[in-house]
Amino acid sequence: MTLRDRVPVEDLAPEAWRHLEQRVVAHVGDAAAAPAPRRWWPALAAVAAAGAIAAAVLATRPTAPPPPRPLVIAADDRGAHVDLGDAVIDAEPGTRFEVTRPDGGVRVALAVGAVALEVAPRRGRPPLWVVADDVTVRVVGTAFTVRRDPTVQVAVSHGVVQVERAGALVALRAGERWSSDAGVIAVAPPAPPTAGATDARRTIDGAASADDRLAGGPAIDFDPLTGRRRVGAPPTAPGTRPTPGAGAAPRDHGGNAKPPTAPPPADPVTDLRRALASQPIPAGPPTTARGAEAIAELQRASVTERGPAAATALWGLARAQWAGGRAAEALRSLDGYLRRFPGGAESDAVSWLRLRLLCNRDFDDACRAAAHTYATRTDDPTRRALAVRVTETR
Amino acid sequence: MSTQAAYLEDVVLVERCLGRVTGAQEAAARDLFRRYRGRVHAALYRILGGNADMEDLLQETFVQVFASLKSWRAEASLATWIDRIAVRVAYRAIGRRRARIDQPSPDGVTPEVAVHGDAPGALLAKDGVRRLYAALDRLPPASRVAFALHEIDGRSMAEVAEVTGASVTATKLRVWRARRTLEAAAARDPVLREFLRDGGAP
Repeated sequence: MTLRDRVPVEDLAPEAWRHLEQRVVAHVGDAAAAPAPRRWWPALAAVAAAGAIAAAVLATRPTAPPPPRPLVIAADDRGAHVDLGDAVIDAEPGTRFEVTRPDGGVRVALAVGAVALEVAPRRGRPPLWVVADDVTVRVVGTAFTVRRDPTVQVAVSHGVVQVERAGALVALRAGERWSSDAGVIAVAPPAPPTAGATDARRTIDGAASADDRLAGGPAIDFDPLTGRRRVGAPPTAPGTRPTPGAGAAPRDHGGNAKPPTAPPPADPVTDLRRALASQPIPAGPPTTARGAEAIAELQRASVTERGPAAATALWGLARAQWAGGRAAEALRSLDGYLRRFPGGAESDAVSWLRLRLLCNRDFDDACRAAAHTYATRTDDPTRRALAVRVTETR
Repeated sequence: MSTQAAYLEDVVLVERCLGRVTGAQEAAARDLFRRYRGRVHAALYRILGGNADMEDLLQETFVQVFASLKSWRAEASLATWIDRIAVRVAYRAIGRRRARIDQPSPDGVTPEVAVHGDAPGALLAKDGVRRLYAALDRLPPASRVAFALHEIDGRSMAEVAEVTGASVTATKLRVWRARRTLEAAAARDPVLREFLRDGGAP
């Protein structure tokens, strides 16, 4: 028995709850109408902190890095694939869209065409939303398609999204679709679990128009039974429509269709480790020797050289130690680099390798701290997204 | 209900409360109140050790929730955000109680605690709970809150840290200090010792 069981909560009387509810609800109109409370202290502190940071940045760096430019994608006739780390975007041929990261979030502005997204759950992360015309689709963690041609249609494969238009909000769940036709919001009922592929492509009102267009997306195909992207589904030519259930169904040696099987559930920790490992470590400086001799050479250079040359040597030393399997020594060299050359030219690579080494052992506090530091400093969106994912591990 | 669906419902509920979506704002406020009142009540009860002034505290919490609803950023869980407000209310209640008690009762007993069960066992448990909260009264508020949320309300260290705005390390330290204080109290008090042993803590 735990203390939780030993200290039961005595409920209030129903009458007390009722009175309380009346008193609380009576305040709501005033609260909603009132302007957001002004907090001078945080603003003052923020201004002071910003001033201090600006002074520090100006003192240590010749120029501040420019803000990340928007990523403008114009898919060619093969479509486009964009991996943002915590979100993957597949675009149909001819699609044009722009990706920006305001305040660490992800904003996809769809100009024309169709995009399919697979998005990791956003809880605790900055938001991800897709804007198409006057429709905003806010993501909770899901796979879905947004098409603009010129009406906007949204189809959810799994998970939940929130569609907003003219102040009206609609929650879409797996199997549901939404269309902005005639300015009327209409939501299809969720597909019953036994309905299979046919029902997952059902239209809102029984007509074939909107959903036929959605279902005909060439390279973006989700299995309505599993809710996952069909692995190996061949891309379909634009304008043609795959036969439901036939395109991706595996076949045995005799050519008979096998029943679809769901892929095994992915282990998020393993996936994250793989994603971290897939990011290449930049090369170190060239050396005249190899192995232990190269390490000794770089060690000497890191001590005898000055300024950027010493920084490069120290980075090369850490990288060589890491490549030689001397992780603990590499970690010491990396820490030494960050102490001596916090704004050094290799500091991004150094911080990334440090994160990798610390997170190789375990996703512990040291690993998460390194990931947090990296995420706040790097300009690389993919690695930043990975680092943020690391900080969210428990 | 899945976590994602619950989260989304929270988002829509808040939009309705703020009147951004056409519909009855008052009804939305009632929905929100009913959805979270049990959670807030349990947290306050387990931090403070009883229902004394509970209606006022619940009202204070939810009035603040509705007054600050505009500042809720949807990337944080609404439940956690409300918990933070409830914890701040609990801190203030602890401060007020300490200021109010000029002369502590001889045994430092917390007056109101509910315990269910058969008569002799329930009485013993009731006495144990009273002594537990009497010992918690001697702790710094931060330690008391962290211990109550973790050990009594059953929340994880990370969740307690998030709700109290402290680091996980600081939260662990606070809970550890509370345990140490309770161990010292239990060494002098056989009833409390028995209660804590049955309760699996400290």
